Amino acid sequence: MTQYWVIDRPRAEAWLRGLTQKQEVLVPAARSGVWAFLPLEAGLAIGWDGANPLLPAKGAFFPQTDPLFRFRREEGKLNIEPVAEAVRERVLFGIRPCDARSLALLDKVFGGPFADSQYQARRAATLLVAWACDHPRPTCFCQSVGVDPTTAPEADVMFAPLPRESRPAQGSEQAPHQREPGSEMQYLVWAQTQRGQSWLESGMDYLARAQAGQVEAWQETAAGMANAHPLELDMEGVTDRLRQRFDDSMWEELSARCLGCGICTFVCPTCHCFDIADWQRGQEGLRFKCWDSCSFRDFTLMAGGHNPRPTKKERIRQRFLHKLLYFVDRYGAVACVGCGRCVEQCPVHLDITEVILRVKGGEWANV
Amino acid sequence: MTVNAVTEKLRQTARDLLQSGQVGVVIGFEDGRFPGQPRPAFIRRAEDADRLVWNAFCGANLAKYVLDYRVGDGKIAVVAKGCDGAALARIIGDQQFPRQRLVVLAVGCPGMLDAGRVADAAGLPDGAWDAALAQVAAAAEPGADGFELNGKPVSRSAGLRPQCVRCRQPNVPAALEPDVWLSEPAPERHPSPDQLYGDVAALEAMSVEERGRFWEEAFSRCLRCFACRNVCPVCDCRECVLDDAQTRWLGKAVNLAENQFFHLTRAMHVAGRCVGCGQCEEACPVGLPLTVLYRKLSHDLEELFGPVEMPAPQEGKAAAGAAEGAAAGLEKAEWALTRFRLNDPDEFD
Repeated sequence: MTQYWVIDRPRAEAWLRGLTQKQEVLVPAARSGVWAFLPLEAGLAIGWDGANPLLPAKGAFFPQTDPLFRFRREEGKLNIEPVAEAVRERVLFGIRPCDARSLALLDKVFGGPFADSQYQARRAATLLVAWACDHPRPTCFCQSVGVDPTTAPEADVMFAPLPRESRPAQGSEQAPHQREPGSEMQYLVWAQTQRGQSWLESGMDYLARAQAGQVEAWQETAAGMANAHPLELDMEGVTDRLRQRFDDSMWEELSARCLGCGICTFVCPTCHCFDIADWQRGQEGLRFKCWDSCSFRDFTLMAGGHNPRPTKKERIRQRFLHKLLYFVDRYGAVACVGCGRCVEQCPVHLDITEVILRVKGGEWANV
Repeated sequence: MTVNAVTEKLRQTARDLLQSGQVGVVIGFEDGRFPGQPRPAFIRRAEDADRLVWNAFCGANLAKYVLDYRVGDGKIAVVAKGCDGAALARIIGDQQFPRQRLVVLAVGCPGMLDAGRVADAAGLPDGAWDAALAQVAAAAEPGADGFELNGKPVSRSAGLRPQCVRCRQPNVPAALEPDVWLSEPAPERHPSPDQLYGDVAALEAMSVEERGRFWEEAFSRCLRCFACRNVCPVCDCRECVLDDAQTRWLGKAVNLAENQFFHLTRAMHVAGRCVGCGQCEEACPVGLPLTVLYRKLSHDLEELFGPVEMPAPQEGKAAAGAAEGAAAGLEKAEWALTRFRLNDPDEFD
């Protein structure tokens, strides 16, 4: 039976900061106004109340630029020296169910018979602590793509914010105005894996047993959050309809607006296309893996100059068919977790929800 | 829902242009998913003309899109605020699109609102999406001083986009000789030197080391999504040097050195050509203060060579057709850093 624990925000903060003595702890935080999962360090505020970070959790496993090896030519011989960073045990704290699902999807891509060893090593070394999401943005639609915002089955440990009234009054030595804002927040905590269980056991100094009614209070909140998201999409039959629409005029119409930049692909937690490139100076250089984007003109540019996706139409079609059709055929799930980052970030308001609506026969205007 | 007068005239004009076959497409705005976020629209059939809208949130620069129609010979119509018009003038001047193939639908622009700023000014909760914004989007006639939202009076200036606070060109340049005016021209705007260059001056006041740290910190955040370049209407090269897969002048690794090379190269390419539409900064997902860099260069150019001026309309050419006259003026225009002369001084020692 699941054991439930309760922790308040100051204790959780103390626990996480204590952990940084011996390992890396990644938390949602802002640096220069950019929200991302950053290594916790003195002076960095944990974004307890912030929105889902702009940059998704994928970067912790699949960094934008990932060095593979150095090469150097010496006396006619080519020396190759691996430079893969040492992977150490770490905690990724505060991912939401959407990003947790994205990792399950990326696992399919970077696992299997042709596993990406660096990705696998980073995944294996990382304990996932997920937050039940009580901060949906108006652009969120995770429930439409089958993600439950209140739980992340992929995580080792779950944190869920307790509703105010279920927190027993605690004797505090500090007057309310002396407390940090949010310090009264309490979280229901439970493990979902053996590894998560061991982690909680190591944090018993900070955790208290959940009291009568607290689990029920959370479950009630969670039930209330079902279908709480403002953006609702009907995904029924989208994949099959797309099978028939490779030559649809829709792609041309949508692509007229697309700028061909890479924002949607870079902020997408499931976009995983990459390139392998060299940085070379004279007789030496570095080979690295780096994010690429199907929106870019040179993504499919061949050495001879031929480009099988010569215009924005083919590129945009590839992006959406990959997410909604090819990925489903290959891995059995749509490659979209409904986080809404692309909806919020596209400079010309073109995103996957519009494609889904059009495929479903939705009206052009007011989609 | 009532339709404002500009929208009405826009729809009628678009319908006529498409019905008579004068243009193949009308580029304007239509309502998007969220209120206060209209999106660029490409209207090809007269019966779709009623999708077009004009309101106080139509900030995106549409000039960029004409570059997608370089191949072909049909005409296209573009809705143009001052900054769209200035960008079109540059594109024509760079000989990237002939004026003769454009139908310029000019709108006087009192400055465009930002949905997020409006929501903040009205104390609306989280983000810009509140349905209350729909009222503003529909009702705010261009030129209105303010409006009520969420029970609070919101002044236009509180919701204005930062680039609009700095605007000196609310109307398309006269040299463009617009084909249709959808509204009255907007009154002239005279931003203060502080509004124009206050942030530039603050950077100039820094020590070299401080300034270096400022830009290093900024450029190290860059994701290299290229939104700034792709949204920029004066980035009109057919093939960008930064995309050259053969030479890889710009390497694919995302690090400070490559990012700096990217941004400084782009800054020099748009120096003296930037029209100040602010699309780069608005699109940037990591908030790089790109217009500060471009305005620094514009400021230097203004100090060294005088204010950037559009060529005057070609007198007497109007009889031969406004478009031809405008084309002649714009294509002959010489703007700083856009022409190279063999005897240009190059004293760099």
